Amino acid sequence: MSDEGAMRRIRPIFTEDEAYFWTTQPGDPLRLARCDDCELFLHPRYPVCRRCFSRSIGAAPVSGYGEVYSFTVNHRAWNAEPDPTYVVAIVALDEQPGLHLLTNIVGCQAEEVRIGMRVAVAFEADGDLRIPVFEPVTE
Amino acid sequence: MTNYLRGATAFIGLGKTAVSRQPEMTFGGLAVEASRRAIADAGLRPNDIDCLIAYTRPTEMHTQGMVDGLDRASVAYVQEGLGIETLRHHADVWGPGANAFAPSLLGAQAIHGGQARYVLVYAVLGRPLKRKFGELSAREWGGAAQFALPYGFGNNVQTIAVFARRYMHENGLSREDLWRAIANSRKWAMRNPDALLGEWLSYDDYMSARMIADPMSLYDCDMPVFGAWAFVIAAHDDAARAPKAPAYISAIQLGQGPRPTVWELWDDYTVMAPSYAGRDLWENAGVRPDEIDVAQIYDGFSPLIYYHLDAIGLTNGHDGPGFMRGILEGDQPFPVNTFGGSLGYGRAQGASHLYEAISQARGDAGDRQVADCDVSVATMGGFMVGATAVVTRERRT
Repeated sequence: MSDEGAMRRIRPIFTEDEAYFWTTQPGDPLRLARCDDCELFLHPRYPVCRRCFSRSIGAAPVSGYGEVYSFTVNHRAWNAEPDPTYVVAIVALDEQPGLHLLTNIVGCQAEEVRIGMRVAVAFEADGDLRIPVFEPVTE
Repeated sequence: MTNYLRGATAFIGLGKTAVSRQPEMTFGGLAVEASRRAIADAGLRPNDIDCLIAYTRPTEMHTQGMVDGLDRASVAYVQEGLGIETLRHHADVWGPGANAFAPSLLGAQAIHGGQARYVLVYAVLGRPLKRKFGELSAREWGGAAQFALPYGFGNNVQTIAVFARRYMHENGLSREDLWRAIANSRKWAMRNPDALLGEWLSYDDYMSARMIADPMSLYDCDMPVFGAWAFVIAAHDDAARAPKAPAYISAIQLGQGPRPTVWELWDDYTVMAPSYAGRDLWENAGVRPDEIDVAQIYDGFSPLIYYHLDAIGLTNGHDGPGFMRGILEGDQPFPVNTFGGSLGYGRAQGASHLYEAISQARGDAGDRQVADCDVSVATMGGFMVGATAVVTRERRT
Protein backbone atom coordinates (compact mmCIF):
# COMPACT_ATOMS: atom_id res chain seq x y z
CA MET A 1 0.00 0.00 0.00
CA SER A 2 1.62 3.21 -1.15
CA ASP A 3 0.41 5.19 1.82
CA GLU A 4 1.57 2.67 4.37
CA GLY A 5 3.79 5.25 5.99
CA ALA A 6 0.74 7.34 6.77
CA MET A 7 -0.68 4.67 9.03
CA ARG A 8 0.18 5.45 12.60
CA ARG A 9 0.78 2.03 13.98
CA ILE A 10 0.08 1.34 17.62
CA ARG A 11 2.93 -0.62 19.09
CA PRO A 12 1.87 -4.03 20.34
CA ILE A 13 1.84 -4.71 24.05
CA PHE A 14 2.81 -8.30 24.77
CA THR A 15 4.32 -10.59 27.35
CA GLU A 16 7.32 -12.88 26.94
CA ASP A 17 4.85 -15.62 25.96
CA GLU A 18 4.15 -13.83 22.66
CA ALA A 19 7.63 -12.40 21.99
CA TYR A 20 8.15 -15.07 19.28
CA PHE A 21 5.73 -13.10 17.09
CA TRP A 22 6.99 -9.56 17.52
CA THR A 23 10.73 -9.84 18.11
CA THR A 24 12.12 -11.84 15.19
CA GLN A 25 15.55 -11.02 13.75
CA PRO A 26 16.15 -10.16 10.08
CA GLY A 27 16.10 -13.41 8.11
CA ASP A 28 13.93 -15.20 10.68
CA PRO A 29 10.68 -16.80 9.48
CA LEU A 30 7.26 -15.90 10.85
CA ARG A 31 6.55 -18.03 13.89
CA LEU A 32 3.21 -18.92 15.45
CA ALA A 33 2.22 -20.64 18.66
CA ARG A 34 1.94 -24.40 18.25
CA CYS A 35 1.18 -27.32 20.51
CA ASP A 36 4.42 -29.20 21.17
CA ASP A 37 2.56 -32.49 21.46
CA CYS A 38 -0.01 -32.64 18.63
CA GLU A 39 1.49 -29.81 16.53
CA LEU A 40 -1.77 -27.88 16.15
CA PHE A 41 -1.09 -24.19 15.49
CA LEU A 42 -2.93 -22.00 18.02
CA HIS A 43 -3.30 -18.40 16.99
CA PRO A 44 -3.76 -16.27 18.98
CA ARG A 45 -1.64 -18.15 21.49
CA TYR A 46 -3.74 -20.04 24.02
CA PRO A 47 -2.09 -21.65 27.06
CA VAL A 48 -3.80 -25.03 26.56
CA CYS A 49 -4.18 -26.94 23.31
CA ARG A 50 -7.85 -27.14 22.31
CA ARG A 51 -7.28 -30.46 20.52
CA CYS A 52 -5.16 -32.54 22.91
CA PHE A 53 -5.28 -30.35 26.06
CA SER A 54 -1.51 -30.30 26.28
CA ARG A 55 -0.10 -27.42 28.29
CA SER A 56 3.16 -27.48 26.41
CA ILE A 57 2.72 -24.67 23.89
CA GLY A 58 5.72 -23.49 21.93
CA ALA A 59 6.27 -21.54 18.73
CA ALA A 60 7.06 -22.96 15.32
CA PRO A 61 7.98 -21.41 11.97
CA VAL A 62 5.47 -21.21 9.13
CA SER A 63 6.15 -20.73 5.43
CA GLY A 64 4.66 -17.25 5.52
CA TYR A 65 2.52 -17.97 2.47
CA GLY A 66 -1.24 -17.86 2.31
CA GLU A 67 -4.20 -16.22 0.64
CA VAL A 68 -6.52 -13.36 1.47
CA TYR A 69 -9.65 -14.82 3.08
CA SER A 70 -11.29 -11.41 3.47
CA PHE A 71 -10.34 -7.77 3.92
CA THR A 72 -11.58 -4.26 4.49
CA VAL A 73 -10.25 -0.96 3.22
CA ASN A 74 -10.34 1.31 6.23
CA HIS A 75 -11.32 4.92 5.54
CA ARG A 76 -12.13 6.45 8.89
CA ALA A 77 -9.38 7.95 10.99
CA TRP A 78 -9.49 6.24 14.38
CA ASN A 79 -6.21 7.72 15.59
CA ALA A 80 -6.01 11.04 13.75
CA GLU A 81 -3.92 9.55 10.93
CA PRO A 82 -3.19 12.00 8.11
CA ASP A 83 -4.44 9.35 5.65
CA PRO A 84 -6.49 6.61 7.27
CA THR A 85 -6.72 4.49 4.09
CA TYR A 86 -5.18 1.11 4.76
CA VAL A 87 -6.05 -2.53 4.16
CA VAL A 88 -6.76 -4.89 7.02
CA ALA A 89 -6.91 -8.46 5.79
CA ILE A 90 -7.54 -11.90 7.16
CA VAL A 91 -4.91 -14.18 5.67
CA ALA A 92 -5.48 -17.95 5.59
CA LEU A 93 -2.05 -19.50 5.98
CA ASP A 94 -1.07 -22.57 3.97
CA GLU A 95 0.04 -24.61 6.99
CA GLN A 96 -3.30 -25.62 8.45
CA PRO A 97 -6.95 -25.25 7.38
CA GLY A 98 -8.53 -22.38 9.28
CA LEU A 99 -5.20 -20.93 10.47
CA HIS A 100 -6.11 -17.28 10.02
CA LEU A 101 -4.05 -14.22 10.80
CA LEU A 102 -5.17 -10.61 10.98
CA THR A 103 -2.71 -8.31 9.22
CA ASN A 104 -2.17 -5.44 6.80
CA ILE A 105 -1.62 -5.86 3.07
CA VAL A 106 1.24 -3.67 1.88
CA GLY A 107 3.11 -3.34 -1.38
CA CYS A 108 0.09 -2.70 -3.60
CA GLN A 109 -2.76 -0.25 -3.96
CA ALA A 110 -5.77 -0.86 -1.72
CA GLU A 111 -8.03 -1.34 -4.75
CA GLU A 112 -5.83 -4.18 -6.01
CA VAL A 113 -6.51 -6.42 -3.03
CA ARG A 114 -8.83 -9.36 -3.78
CA ILE A 115 -10.22 -12.33 -1.89
CA GLY A 116 -8.11 -15.35 -2.85
CA MET A 117 -5.03 -13.27 -3.64
CA ARG A 118 -1.74 -15.08 -2.85
CA VAL A 119 0.32 -13.21 -0.27
CA ALA A 120 3.59 -13.66 1.58
CA VAL A 121 4.85 -12.32 4.88
CA ALA A 122 7.07 -9.26 5.08
CA PHE A 123 8.37 -7.53 8.19
CA GLU A 124 8.18 -3.86 9.06
CA ALA A 125 10.77 -2.62 11.50
CA ASP A 126 9.37 -0.67 14.41
CA GLY A 127 12.20 0.13 16.81
CA ASP A 128 13.31 -3.17 18.31
CA LEU A 129 10.18 -4.91 17.01
CA ARG A 130 9.43 -6.40 13.62
CA ILE A 131 5.75 -6.27 12.68
CA PRO A 132 4.62 -9.11 10.38
CA VAL A 133 2.58 -7.79 7.43
CA PHE A 134 1.78 -9.36 4.05
CA GLU A 135 2.36 -8.36 0.44
CA PRO A 136 1.17 -9.78 -2.87
CA VAL A 137 3.13 -12.69 -4.34
CA THR A 138 4.19 -11.89 -7.86
CA GLU A 139 4.55 -15.12 -9.84
CA MET B 1 -34.48 -32.53 23.45
CA THR B 2 -37.88 -31.44 24.66
CA ASN B 3 -38.66 -27.76 25.16
CA TYR B 4 -40.48 -27.98 28.49
CA LEU B 5 -40.87 -24.21 28.51
CA ARG B 6 -43.12 -24.13 25.44
CA GLY B 7 -46.30 -22.31 26.45
CA ALA B 8 -45.40 -22.45 30.15
CA THR B 9 -44.88 -18.70 30.58
CA ALA B 10 -45.83 -15.41 28.96
CA PHE B 11 -44.85 -11.78 28.77
CA ILE B 12 -47.63 -9.84 30.54
CA GLY B 13 -46.14 -6.33 30.80
CA LEU B 14 -43.86 -4.09 28.76
CA GLY B 15 -42.22 -0.76 29.55
CA LYS B 16 -39.54 1.37 27.93
CA THR B 17 -37.99 4.81 27.96
CA ALA B 18 -37.55 7.01 24.92
CA VAL B 19 -34.27 6.46 23.11
CA SER B 20 -31.93 9.43 22.90
CA ARG B 21 -28.51 10.31 21.56
CA GLN B 22 -27.49 11.88 24.85
CA PRO B 23 -28.36 10.41 28.22
CA GLU B 24 -31.47 11.99 29.70
CA MET B 25 -31.07 10.00 32.90
CA THR B 26 -28.46 7.80 34.52
CA PHE B 27 -28.45 4.09 33.70
CA GLY B 28 -30.18 3.47 37.01
CA GLY B 29 -32.81 6.12 36.26
CA LEU B 30 -33.52 4.62 32.84
CA ALA B 31 -33.82 1.10 34.26
CA VAL B 32 -36.17 2.13 37.05
CA GLU B 33 -38.34 4.19 34.70
CA ALA B 34 -38.79 1.37 32.16
CA SER B 35 -39.36 -1.15 34.97
CA ARG B 36 -42.02 0.97 36.65
CA ARG B 37 -43.92 1.21 33.37
CA ALA B 38 -43.68 -2.54 32.70
CA ILE B 39 -45.00 -3.39 36.16
CA ALA B 40 -47.94 -1.02 35.69
CA ASP B 41 -48.62 -2.44 32.22
CA ALA B 42 -48.83 -5.91 33.80
CA GLY B 43 -51.40 -4.63 36.29
CA LEU B 44 -49.05 -5.31 39.19
CA ARG B 45 -47.40 -3.35 42.00
CA PRO B 46 -43.63 -3.42 42.50
CA ASN B 47 -43.89 -5.70 45.53
CA ASP B 48 -45.64 -8.34 43.40
CA ILE B 49 -42.31 -8.83 41.62
CA ASP B 50 -40.32 -11.58 43.35
CA CYS B 51 -37.47 -11.95 40.85
CA LEU B 52 -35.34 -9.33 39.08
CA ILE B 53 -32.98 -10.17 36.23
CA ALA B 54 -30.78 -7.45 34.76
CA TYR B 55 -28.94 -7.10 31.54
CA THR B 56 -26.67 -4.13 31.75
CA ARG B 57 -24.08 -3.24 29.21
CA PRO B 58 -21.74 -0.61 30.56
CA THR B 59 -21.07 2.51 28.53
CA GLU B 60 -17.56 1.20 28.01
CA MET B 61 -16.89 -2.46 28.59
CA HIS B 62 -13.54 -2.00 30.24
CA THR B 63 -13.96 1.19 32.18
CA GLN B 64 -12.47 0.94 35.62
CA GLY B 65 -14.39 2.33 38.52
CA MET B 66 -17.89 2.22 37.04
CA VAL B 67 -20.51 3.48 39.40
CA ASP B 68 -23.61 1.38 39.97
CA GLY B 69 -26.68 3.42 39.04
CA LEU B 70 -24.63 5.92 37.05
CA ASP B 71 -23.20 3.86 34.20
CA ARG B 72 -24.63 0.47 35.02
CA ALA B 73 -27.80 -0.62 36.78
CA SER B 74 -27.55 -3.70 38.98
CA VAL B 75 -30.49 -5.65 40.31
CA ALA B 76 -29.68 -4.26 43.76
CA TYR B 77 -29.88 -0.68 42.50
CA VAL B 78 -33.17 -1.21 40.66
CA GLN B 79 -34.73 -3.18 43.50
CA GLU B 80 -34.08 -0.21 45.75
CA GLY B 81 -35.39 2.25 43.17
CA LEU B 82 -38.62 0.32 42.79
CA GLY B 83 -39.05 -0.09 46.53
CA ILE B 84 -39.29 -3.89 46.30
CA GLU B 85 -38.87 -5.26 49.80
CA THR B 86 -37.73 -8.82 49.14
CA LEU B 87 -36.81 -11.05 46.21
CA ARG B 88 -36.89 -14.82 45.97
CA HIS B 89 -34.52 -14.95 43.03
CA HIS B 90 -32.29 -12.57 41.08
CA ALA B 91 -29.43 -12.46 38.59
CA ASP B 92 -27.22 -9.88 36.93
CA VAL B 93 -26.32 -10.73 33.33
CA TRP B 94 -23.33 -8.86 31.98
CA GLY B 95 -22.56 -7.99 28.39
CA PRO B 96 -21.57 -8.36 25.70
CA GLY B 97 -24.31 -10.92 25.44
CA ALA B 98 -27.84 -11.68 24.36
CA ASN B 99 -29.46 -8.65 25.96
CA ALA B 100 -33.19 -8.99 26.80
CA PHE B 101 -33.30 -12.52 25.37
CA ALA B 102 -30.91 -14.13 27.87
CA PRO B 103 -32.53 -12.61 30.99
CA SER B 104 -35.99 -13.41 29.60
CA LEU B 105 -35.02 -17.05 29.14
CA LEU B 106 -33.62 -17.12 32.69
CA GLY B 107 -36.85 -15.55 33.92
CA ALA B 108 -39.07 -18.11 32.17
CA GLN B 109 -36.89 -20.88 33.58
CA ALA B 110 -37.15 -19.43 37.09
CA ILE B 111 -40.95 -19.38 36.90
CA HIS B 112 -41.21 -22.87 35.43
CA GLY B 113 -38.72 -24.14 38.00
CA GLY B 114 -40.75 -22.71 40.86
CA GLN B 115 -38.25 -20.08 41.97
CA ALA B 116 -40.44 -17.09 41.16
CA ARG B 117 -43.98 -16.04 40.28
CA TYR B 118 -43.55 -12.62 38.63
CA VAL B 119 -40.18 -11.88 37.03
CA LEU B 120 -39.08 -8.43 35.93
CA VAL B 121 -36.36 -8.40 33.29
CA TYR B 122 -34.69 -5.24 32.05
CA ALA B 123 -31.98 -4.14 29.66
CA VAL B 124 -30.20 -0.77 29.79
CA LEU B 125 -27.99 0.41 26.99
CA GLY B 126 -25.74 3.36 26.47
CA ARG B 127 -23.49 4.79 23.85
CA PRO B 128 -19.87 3.76 24.17
CA LEU B 129 -17.47 6.50 25.10
CA LYS B 130 -15.44 7.66 22.13
CA ARG B 131 -11.88 6.51 22.65
CA LYS B 132 -9.07 6.04 20.24
CA PHE B 133 -7.31 2.71 19.91
CA GLY B 134 -4.16 4.27 21.26
CA GLU B 135 -5.85 5.37 24.47
CA LEU B 136 -6.57 1.82 25.55
CA SER B 137 -4.42 0.85 28.48
CA ALA B 138 -2.15 -2.17 28.39
CA ARG B 139 -4.52 -3.91 30.77
CA GLU B 140 -7.42 -3.43 28.36
CA TRP B 141 -5.60 -5.07 25.49
CA GLY B 142 -6.12 -8.51 26.90
CA GLY B 143 -4.23 -11.33 25.25
CA ALA B 144 -5.62 -11.46 21.72
CA ALA B 145 -6.02 -7.73 21.03
CA GLN B 146 -2.24 -7.40 20.58
CA PHE B 147 -2.69 -9.25 17.28
CA ALA B 148 -5.31 -6.75 16.01
CA LEU B 149 -4.72 -3.22 17.33
CA PRO B 150 -1.25 -2.76 15.77
CA TYR B 151 -2.88 -3.41 12.40
CA GLY B 152 -5.38 -0.58 12.89
CA PHE B 153 -8.14 -3.06 13.64
CA GLY B 154 -10.14 -2.50 16.78
CA ASN B 155 -13.88 -2.06 16.38
CA ASN B 156 -17.01 -3.83 15.23
CA VAL B 157 -17.47 -1.78 12.06
CA GLN B 158 -14.19 -3.17 10.76
CA THR B 159 -15.13 -6.65 11.94
CA ILE B 160 -18.49 -6.67 10.20
CA ALA B 161 -16.73 -5.28 7.13
CA VAL B 162 -14.44 -8.29 6.77
CA PHE B 163 -17.31 -10.69 7.51
CA ALA B 164 -19.60 -8.95 5.02
CA ARG B 165 -17.04 -8.93 2.23
CA ARG B 166 -16.58 -12.69 2.53
CA TYR B 167 -20.33 -13.32 2.83
CA MET B 168 -20.97 -11.14 -0.24
CA HIS B 169 -18.23 -13.01 -2.12
CA GLU B 170 -19.58 -16.47 -1.30
CA ASN B 171 -23.31 -15.76 -1.50
CA GLY B 172 -23.53 -13.17 -4.26
CA LEU B 173 -24.82 -10.45 -1.94
CA SER B 174 -24.52 -6.91 -3.35
CA ARG B 175 -24.46 -3.45 -1.84
CA GLU B 176 -27.95 -3.02 -3.27
CA ASP B 177 -28.98 -5.93 -1.03
CA LEU B 178 -27.42 -4.17 1.96
CA TRP B 179 -29.34 -1.02 1.04
CA ARG B 180 -32.60 -3.04 0.96
CA ALA B 181 -32.03 -4.11 4.57
CA ILE B 182 -31.63 -0.45 5.56
CA ALA B 183 -34.50 0.75 3.36
CA ASN B 184 -36.89 -1.78 4.89
CA SER B 185 -36.02 -0.65 8.41
CA ARG B 186 -36.26 3.02 7.45
CA LYS B 187 -39.65 2.39 5.81
CA TRP B 188 -41.04 1.16 9.14
CA ALA B 189 -39.13 3.77 11.17
CA MET B 190 -41.07 6.44 9.25
CA ARG B 191 -44.20 5.09 11.00
CA ASN B 192 -42.68 5.06 14.48
CA PRO B 193 -42.45 8.47 16.18
CA ASP B 194 -39.93 7.04 18.68
CA ALA B 195 -37.45 6.10 15.93
CA LEU B 196 -34.37 8.29 15.59
CA LEU B 197 -33.93 7.80 11.85
CA GLY B 198 -37.49 7.98 10.53
CA GLU B 199 -36.48 9.25 7.11
CA TRP B 200 -36.33 7.47 3.79
CA LEU B 201 -32.88 6.61 2.47
CA SER B 202 -32.71 6.43 -1.33
CA TYR B 203 -30.38 4.03 -3.07
CA ASP B 204 -28.45 6.97 -4.55
CA ASP B 205 -27.97 8.58 -1.16
CA TYR B 206 -26.84 5.24 0.24
CA MET B 207 -24.30 4.73 -2.53
CA SER B 208 -22.84 8.20 -2.06
CA ALA B 209 -22.44 7.84 1.73
CA ARG B 210 -19.06 8.12 3.36
CA MET B 211 -17.23 4.80 3.73
CA ILE B 212 -16.03 3.83 7.19
CA ALA B 213 -14.51 0.43 6.46
CA ASP B 214 -15.35 -0.76 2.96
CA PRO B 215 -17.93 -2.24 2.33
CA MET B 216 -19.47 -0.67 5.46
CA SER B 217 -20.62 2.91 5.02
CA LEU B 218 -22.14 5.27 7.56
CA TYR B 219 -25.68 4.03 6.87
CA ASP B 220 -24.80 0.34 7.26
CA CYS B 221 -24.27 0.97 10.98
CA ASP B 222 -26.94 1.60 13.58
CA MET B 223 -26.92 4.70 15.75
CA PRO B 224 -25.85 4.27 19.39
CA VAL B 225 -28.47 5.45 21.86
CA PHE B 226 -29.34 5.53 25.53
CA GLY B 227 -32.50 3.74 26.71
CA ALA B 228 -34.03 0.97 28.78
CA TRP B 229 -36.55 -1.78 28.08
CA ALA B 230 -38.38 -3.87 30.68
CA PHE B 231 -40.48 -7.02 30.53
CA VAL B 232 -42.70 -8.77 33.08
CA ILE B 233 -42.99 -12.55 32.77
CA ALA B 234 -45.52 -14.81 34.52
CA ALA B 235 -46.74 -18.41 34.38
CA HIS B 236 -49.39 -19.06 31.72
CA ASP B 237 -52.24 -19.36 34.23
CA ASP B 238 -51.32 -16.05 35.87
CA ALA B 239 -50.96 -14.57 32.37
CA ALA B 240 -54.49 -15.61 31.47
CA ARG B 241 -55.73 -13.43 34.37
CA ALA B 242 -53.58 -10.40 33.47
CA PRO B 243 -55.45 -7.21 32.52
CA LYS B 244 -53.89 -7.01 29.07
CA ALA B 245 -53.35 -9.71 26.46
CA PRO B 246 -50.21 -11.77 27.08
CA ALA B 247 -47.64 -12.98 24.57
CA TYR B 248 -46.92 -16.64 25.30
CA ILE B 249 -43.30 -17.74 25.13
CA SER B 250 -43.07 -20.67 22.72
CA ALA B 251 -39.27 -20.67 22.66
CA ILE B 252 -36.30 -18.52 23.54
CA GLN B 253 -32.94 -19.88 22.49
CA LEU B 254 -29.36 -18.77 22.86
CA GLY B 255 -26.46 -20.19 20.93
CA GLN B 256 -22.74 -20.01 20.46
CA GLY B 257 -20.33 -21.52 17.99
CA PRO B 258 -16.66 -22.49 18.17
CA ARG B 259 -13.88 -20.14 19.32
CA PRO B 260 -16.11 -17.39 20.72
CA THR B 261 -13.25 -15.14 21.89
CA VAL B 262 -11.63 -14.65 18.48
CA TRP B 263 -14.45 -14.25 15.98
CA GLU B 264 -12.34 -12.22 13.57
CA LEU B 265 -10.19 -15.33 13.09
CA TRP B 266 -13.01 -17.83 12.49
CA ASP B 267 -12.47 -20.07 9.51
CA ASP B 268 -16.02 -19.56 8.18
CA TYR B 269 -17.37 -16.03 7.91
CA THR B 270 -20.77 -17.07 6.51
CA VAL B 271 -22.14 -18.27 9.85
CA MET B 272 -22.46 -16.47 13.17
CA ALA B 273 -23.84 -17.39 16.60
CA PRO B 274 -27.47 -16.71 15.58
CA SER B 275 -27.32 -19.86 13.46
CA TYR B 276 -26.69 -21.86 16.61
CA ALA B 277 -29.49 -19.98 18.39
CA GLY B 278 -31.78 -20.86 15.49
CA ARG B 279 -31.19 -24.62 15.62
CA ASP B 280 -34.52 -26.53 15.74
CA LEU B 281 -36.30 -23.27 16.57
CA TRP B 282 -39.57 -24.15 14.83
CA GLU B 283 -39.66 -27.65 16.26
CA ASN B 284 -38.93 -26.35 19.75
CA ALA B 285 -41.48 -23.55 19.41
CA GLY B 286 -44.15 -25.82 17.94
CA VAL B 287 -44.80 -23.60 14.95
CA ARG B 288 -44.04 -23.86 11.24
CA PRO B 289 -42.10 -21.10 9.44
CA ASP B 290 -45.12 -20.49 7.20
CA GLU B 291 -47.19 -19.64 10.30
CA ILE B 292 -45.09 -16.58 11.12
CA ASP B 293 -47.09 -13.38 10.93
CA VAL B 294 -44.31 -10.88 11.69
CA ALA B 295 -40.53 -11.01 12.20
CA GLN B 296 -38.05 -8.72 13.93
CA ILE B 297 -34.75 -9.68 12.33
CA TYR B 298 -31.66 -8.19 13.93
CA ASP B 299 -30.08 -5.43 11.89
CA GLY B 300 -27.45 -3.75 14.06
CA PHE B 301 -25.35 -3.74 10.89
CA SER B 302 -27.06 -4.14 7.51
CA PRO B 303 -25.40 -7.47 6.57
CA LEU B 304 -26.60 -9.07 9.80
CA ILE B 305 -30.15 -9.31 8.44
CA TYR B 306 -28.92 -11.87 5.91
CA TYR B 307 -27.05 -13.92 8.51
CA HIS B 308 -30.19 -13.99 10.65
CA LEU B 309 -32.49 -14.91 7.77
CA ASP B 310 -30.17 -17.84 7.04
CA ALA B 311 -30.09 -18.70 10.74
CA ILE B 312 -33.80 -19.20 11.21
CA GLY B 313 -34.44 -20.67 7.78
CA LEU B 314 -36.98 -18.10 6.66
CA THR B 315 -35.34 -17.94 3.26
CA ASN B 316 -34.43 -21.49 2.21
CA GLY B 317 -30.73 -21.32 2.88
CA HIS B 318 -29.06 -18.43 1.13
CA ASP B 319 -31.95 -16.80 -0.68
CA GLY B 320 -32.01 -13.82 1.67
CA PRO B 321 -31.57 -11.23 -1.10
CA GLY B 322 -34.64 -12.56 -2.95
CA PHE B 323 -36.64 -12.46 0.28
CA MET B 324 -35.70 -8.85 1.02
CA ARG B 325 -36.35 -7.79 -2.57
CA GLY B 326 -39.79 -9.38 -2.35
CA ILE B 327 -40.78 -7.70 0.89
CA LEU B 328 -39.46 -4.28 -0.10
CA GLU B 329 -40.62 -4.20 -3.67
CA GLY B 330 -44.01 -5.62 -2.96
CA ASP B 331 -44.39 -8.88 -4.81
CA GLN B 332 -44.03 -10.83 -1.55
CA PRO B 333 -44.94 -8.41 1.22
CA PHE B 334 -44.01 -9.54 4.71
CA PRO B 335 -43.60 -7.34 7.79
CA VAL B 336 -39.98 -7.31 9.02
CA ASN B 337 -38.65 -4.91 11.69
CA THR B 338 -41.99 -3.14 12.12
CA PHE B 339 -40.57 -0.75 14.76
CA GLY B 340 -37.87 0.48 12.40
CA GLY B 341 -35.10 -1.97 13.29
CA SER B 342 -31.81 -0.96 14.84
CA LEU B 343 -31.00 0.83 11.57
CA GLY B 344 -34.04 3.08 11.84
CA TYR B 345 -34.89 3.15 15.54
CA GLY B 346 -31.48 3.03 17.25
CA ARG B 347 -29.00 0.63 18.77
CA ALA B 348 -31.01 -1.29 21.34
CA GLN B 349 -29.00 -4.43 20.54
CA GLY B 350 -32.04 -6.70 20.36
CA ALA B 351 -34.09 -5.37 23.29
CA SER B 352 -36.30 -3.41 20.90
CA HIS B 353 -36.61 -6.38 18.53
CA LEU B 354 -37.95 -8.54 21.37
CA TYR B 355 -40.13 -5.70 22.64
CA GLU B 356 -41.77 -5.20 19.25
CA ALA B 357 -42.27 -8.95 18.72
CA ILE B 358 -44.16 -9.09 22.05
CA SER B 359 -46.17 -5.94 21.25
CA GLN B 360 -47.26 -7.42 17.93
CA ALA B 361 -48.32 -10.74 19.48
CA ARG B 362 -50.29 -8.83 22.13
CA GLY B 363 -52.05 -6.77 19.46
CA ASP B 364 -50.60 -3.66 21.07
CA ALA B 365 -48.36 -2.21 18.34
CA GLY B 366 -50.57 0.78 17.54
CA ASP B 367 -50.40 2.13 13.99
CA ARG B 368 -47.88 -0.54 13.09
CA GLN B 369 -50.00 -3.46 14.27
CA VAL B 370 -49.99 -6.38 11.83
CA ALA B 371 -53.57 -7.59 11.33
CA ASP B 372 -54.54 -10.86 13.01
CA CYS B 373 -51.04 -11.40 14.38
CA ASP B 374 -50.50 -14.67 16.22
CA VAL B 375 -46.95 -15.97 15.67
CA SER B 376 -44.22 -13.39 16.17
CA VAL B 377 -40.48 -14.04 15.94
CA ALA B 378 -37.45 -11.99 17.00
CA THR B 379 -33.73 -12.56 16.64
CA MET B 380 -30.63 -10.74 17.85
CA GLY B 381 -26.89 -11.01 17.79
CA GLY B 382 -23.80 -11.04 15.68
CA PHE B 383 -20.37 -12.67 15.80
CA MET B 384 -20.36 -14.75 19.03
CA VAL B 385 -23.72 -13.52 20.34
CA GLY B 386 -26.97 -15.05 19.15
CA ALA B 387 -30.55 -15.41 20.34
CA THR B 388 -33.96 -16.20 18.90
CA ALA B 389 -37.49 -16.03 20.32
CA VAL B 390 -40.97 -17.07 19.24
CA VAL B 391 -43.94 -15.57 21.06
CA THR B 392 -47.58 -16.17 20.25
CA ARG B 393 -51.02 -14.70 20.92
CA GLU B 394 -52.52 -18.19 21.26
CA ARG B 395 -50.79 -20.46 23.74
CA ARG B 396 -48.97 -23.39 22.11
CA THR B 397 -48.20 -26.43 24.21
